[in-house]
Amino acid sequence: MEGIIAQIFNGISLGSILLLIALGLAITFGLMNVINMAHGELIMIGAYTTYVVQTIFINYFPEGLFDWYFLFAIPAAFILAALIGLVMEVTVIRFLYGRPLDSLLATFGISLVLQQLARSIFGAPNVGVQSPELLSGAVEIFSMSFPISRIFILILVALCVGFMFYYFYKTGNGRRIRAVMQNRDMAASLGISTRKVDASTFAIGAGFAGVAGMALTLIGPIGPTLGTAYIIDAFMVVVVGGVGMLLGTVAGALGIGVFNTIFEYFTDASMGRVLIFVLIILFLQWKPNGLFSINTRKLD
Amino acid sequence: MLQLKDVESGYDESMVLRDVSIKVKQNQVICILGRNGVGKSTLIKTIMGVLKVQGGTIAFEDKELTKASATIRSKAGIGYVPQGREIFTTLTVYENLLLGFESNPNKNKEIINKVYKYFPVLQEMKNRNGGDLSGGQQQQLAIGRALIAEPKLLLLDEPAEGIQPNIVEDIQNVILDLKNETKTSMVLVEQDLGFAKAVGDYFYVIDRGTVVFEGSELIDEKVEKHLSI
Ligand SMILES: Nc1ncnc2c1ncn2[C@@H]1O[C@H](COP(=O)(O)OP(=O)(O)OP(=O)(O)O)[C@@H](O)[C@H]1O
Ligand SMILES: [Mg+2]
Repeated sequence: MEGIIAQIFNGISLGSILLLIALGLAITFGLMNVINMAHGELIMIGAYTTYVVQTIFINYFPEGLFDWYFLFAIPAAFILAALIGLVMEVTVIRFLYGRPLDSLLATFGISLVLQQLARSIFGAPNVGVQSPELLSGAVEIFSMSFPISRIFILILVALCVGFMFYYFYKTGNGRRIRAVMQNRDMAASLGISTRKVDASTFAIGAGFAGVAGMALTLIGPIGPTLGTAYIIDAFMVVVVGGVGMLLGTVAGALGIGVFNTIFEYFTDASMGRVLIFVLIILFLQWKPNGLFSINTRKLD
Repeated sequence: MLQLKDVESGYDESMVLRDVSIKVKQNQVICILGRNGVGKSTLIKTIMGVLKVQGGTIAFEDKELTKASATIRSKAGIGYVPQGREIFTTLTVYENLLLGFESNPNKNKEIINKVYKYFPVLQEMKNRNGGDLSGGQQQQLAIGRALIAEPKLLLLDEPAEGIQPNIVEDIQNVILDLKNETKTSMVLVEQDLGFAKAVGDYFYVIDRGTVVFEGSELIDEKVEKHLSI
């Protein structure tokens, strides 16, 4: 029984990390159909931002305040990644909408540049971010222990998803974004500036990648190629969930997380990985559009 | 208030409109008539800015808009009810209506009630997705959405096409009401000659991408050969 609960927790925890790295991509790829190979590097930027914020806290703030660096790191990671995403959109991506191959190549180029940039600034070896005292250790419930950092990531993901749903479905900006993504010409004919919407939406997607990078610093060391490890998973989650569907991304991430953990439990890490790929391929045969697909009554 | 001079426009390779000159005055309803596929919708899209002008000029209220985007034209006061209705199917009816405010400097929600008065069904279904509506209801929503912007010039592309007769009547009454009670100018593409004659102040007949007749009276003998199928 305890084993099962622990496995479920591990599955959900893995799912929450997958969800976090896929959230931004659910916007840039899912909603805007941009194949952004530099998504992983935006995650990496978020991670290094956290590293920098921590370093500043260590050097300039009293020791007692150190634990709170991560509260500053979250918005800092979001803002910096969003700004770099904005620059990417304005200088490159905007010329490549509707041209998946071109944007794949261009963003792959950008990803290499960003990696090199990180290498030049921070050096090639990994750096470690020290987890705050608050988030280290574990809580004991019924003689089972749950790492606090994992619980924190779960809460962070829940907050991000909640914020995203609120932003997309309850605010004027969200309404404009959904209108533009559905019918660009009509949205423009109503006076919506599609250029502004494209740029800001891409920036928001990039910002969420930055937050994911912040969270990854709690799990392990970070390096210039941090993002490459996660890019495949991120695309996998969005495709399984259904391109364009935020809810699908949530379900896809948790599903993959849980199955991955189960498979690993019964086999080993690399075999579990193989099995999850097989499962996804079979699943996509059955539902090519993912878990959720846009399904409205067609007229005329 | 709107003036097209020798406008040429079309799609990627194929030019559809040639030498089209059209004038709309304040408070005026002009009707565009013509058979299927002669370029009526192409003309409307060119006025809205959805299609780029390839030649000639477009001016609106003495402002040169030839190169302006649809966003800018909408903010300048041009409203658009497209032929395909183009409702946002994944947004609710209410959200579709709210989008009408994007180009209206007056954000007073009171206008929505006016639209509900014209089309009560929109209020009943305000929380449903646009895609759940029937064709006729979507058409009402498309018109309602355009009215919320309080445009100075409203472009209506076959608003009665493929809709059950009682809703057609509602829509025609709204158009008549706009004509009589407001200062809105309109460019109306219409197949129903009877209604066109009832509401139009000036007429343009288009054939094969160019204006073949214009006048404030539709002279049957002159336009017949361009309208009969
Ligand atoms: N998206 C498009 N791409 C290429 N050609 C198009 C496109 N839309 C329309 N056309 C062509 O342009 C010409 C004019 O089309 P348009 O839609 O303006 O006709 P219309 O007068 O509005 O017809 P209807 O009465 O059927 O609405 C047609 O020959 C049509 O085939
Ligand atoms: Mg047409």
